Amino acid sequence: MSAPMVAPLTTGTGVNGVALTVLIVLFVVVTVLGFMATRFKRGEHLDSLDEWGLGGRKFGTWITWFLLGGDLYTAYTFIAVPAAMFATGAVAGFFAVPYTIVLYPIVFVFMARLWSVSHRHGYVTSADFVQGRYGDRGLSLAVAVTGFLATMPYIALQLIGIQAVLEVTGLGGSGNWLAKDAPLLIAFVLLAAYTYTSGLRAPAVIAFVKDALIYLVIIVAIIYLPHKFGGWDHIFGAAQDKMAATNPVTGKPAGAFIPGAGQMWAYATLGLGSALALFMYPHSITASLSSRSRNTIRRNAAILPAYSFVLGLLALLGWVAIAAGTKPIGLDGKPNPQLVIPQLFEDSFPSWFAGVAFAAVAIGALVPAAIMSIAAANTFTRNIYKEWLKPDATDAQEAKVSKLMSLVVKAFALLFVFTLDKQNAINFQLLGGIWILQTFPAIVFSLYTRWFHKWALLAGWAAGMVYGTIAAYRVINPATGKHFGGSLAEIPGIGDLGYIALTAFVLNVLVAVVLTLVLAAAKVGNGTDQTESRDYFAEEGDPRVRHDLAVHRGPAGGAVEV
Amino acid sequence: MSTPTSDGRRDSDRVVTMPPTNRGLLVAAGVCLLIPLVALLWVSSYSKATPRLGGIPFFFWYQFVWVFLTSALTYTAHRLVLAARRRGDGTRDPSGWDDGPDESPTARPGSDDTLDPTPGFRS
Repeated sequence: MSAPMVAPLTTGTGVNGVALTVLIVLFVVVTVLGFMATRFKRGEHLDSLDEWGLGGRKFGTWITWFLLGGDLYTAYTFIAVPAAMFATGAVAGFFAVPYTIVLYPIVFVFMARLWSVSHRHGYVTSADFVQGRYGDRGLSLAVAVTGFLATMPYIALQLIGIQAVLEVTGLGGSGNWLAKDAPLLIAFVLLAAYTYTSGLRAPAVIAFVKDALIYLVIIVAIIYLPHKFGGWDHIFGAAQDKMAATNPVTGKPAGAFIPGAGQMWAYATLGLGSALALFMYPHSITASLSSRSRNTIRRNAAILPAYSFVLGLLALLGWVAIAAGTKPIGLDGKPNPQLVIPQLFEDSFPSWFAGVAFAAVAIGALVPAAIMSIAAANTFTRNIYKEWLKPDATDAQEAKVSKLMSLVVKAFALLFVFTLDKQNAINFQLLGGIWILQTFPAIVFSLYTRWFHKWALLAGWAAGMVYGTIAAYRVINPATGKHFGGSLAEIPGIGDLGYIALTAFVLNVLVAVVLTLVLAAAKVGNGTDQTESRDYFAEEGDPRVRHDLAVHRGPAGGAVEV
Repeated sequence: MSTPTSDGRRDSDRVVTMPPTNRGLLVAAGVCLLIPLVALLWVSSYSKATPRLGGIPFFFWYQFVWVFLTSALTYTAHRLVLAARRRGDGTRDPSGWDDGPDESPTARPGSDDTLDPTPGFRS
């Protein structure tokens, strides 16, 4: 990164007491809310995965809006997108805006179908659906394991978001092991405890607080800061100068002010690839399936872009920080662009408001971390534990395993952050994005057709995974010389740089199409389909679902065919 | 596609079947959803600095405008799909074709959702 080495200005000078107090008070408030959430829209059968892991599938339009918004726009987004804008400019940072815009028309198209078929058959995860569609444990396991693996580093990144905030308040960066990691540990133990007791209801309730704080902070920041630092003209001028300056390490411009020739493909493929991938993550699907009706999902596709607008403003704050001369220096004395937003707030606002901003980011990390750990736990329980280890597990056993697994997942994430280099978490997250997109054909194509052969989908998935992993490994960071230097590689046949995930996805689909033709010609059977056409249009209160529930006394049975 | 395995015995079968479909309206909804993708993925159409708006280069404010346009287009698509799938007999709620009048109205999940005070949004 090109941030110059300068003596720390405000970081490292001790703890910001006022900001820290505000942060702790708000943190205590959400912790209490998290534990009280167990009574929020309580259902009759508490010991089932539907209740713990999907909040009883009864969240309406606005709760779903808060929950999905809190889920998709994570602390890492709030930290990393402005950091990317600050360090390398618009291609690496601002692509998040077209990404989160084109996301919703795409989600509109397929998520209602997934909701309906899941409602009809009691599916909790996307791998449940794949299993029901093809009756094939291999393909379902591939989808489940990919989702599980891709979620773990994502949770770790939420911790890194909290760490960034704690570091700027002066906590947790230095001293002995206990003083360094204790604040994060306490935050996470509390998170684990209320997720365990309240399930998906906890993040649903906390999401209200999170969003109120985020909107408050962003609106104040975006009105006040440009004025304070010389207006937008000056801010964009400063950003343009910084991006045009030559990076002494690479000999190339430091970054992109506006995508130039040769960067169009990168910008477009990053946006499209990320949009296709996001709703393949278990946590996105969990939040979607917890909504009450298929129309809740579609209405949300129309109102969720409100968050995209906020994300765009946040991205621009990365450039406000350039004009403000923010020096994001970690407590170890090294420049760390990830600290740029917390540092900008600490430098520009009174301590108490900086505390509110820090709380917004920290609580913004807890909501997605809770949903991600629930989603990963659901995936493990349904598609690994019940499918492979204990097929006769009861609803209560499923819920119990899921609750325990949510603790295990979080413990792993914590270990990840404490023992590995942070860069590793970011590398794995990069790989996670590439991997998760490879489950798209098996999930989304299968919502519309059974033309694809299950083994062809599995082979396509494997091809995309291998290609994507190798291509990402071969990207060398020019400054550090390390592997996994970024998510862009040359697109074969086009020559420009493009998002590796999307290239791997195209390869995935090609392999799936070719092998489907081969297997169809060889007349290889394609498994049994548990679903029928009209299941994909089932609505809340579907009489067939009600009929099945009456027979089964509980919504969590896997296959509810009578 | 899947083969329906209906056993024809369940009384519920007569309530939920494949919804009726107006293809023209569905195509219109598809176009509404396609427009933002084309506009935003065609990067060279907007990767320029001018005209500026209040000091903000075109590249940035143009994408902010698309947040609102996409929201409106997606909502339009939602209404079009509802209209396309509306039942002809006029006896059912256009949003749901959920419970027929002959079904018990009890225990609608989430019908006590006081945090969702948007009746107009629900139609």
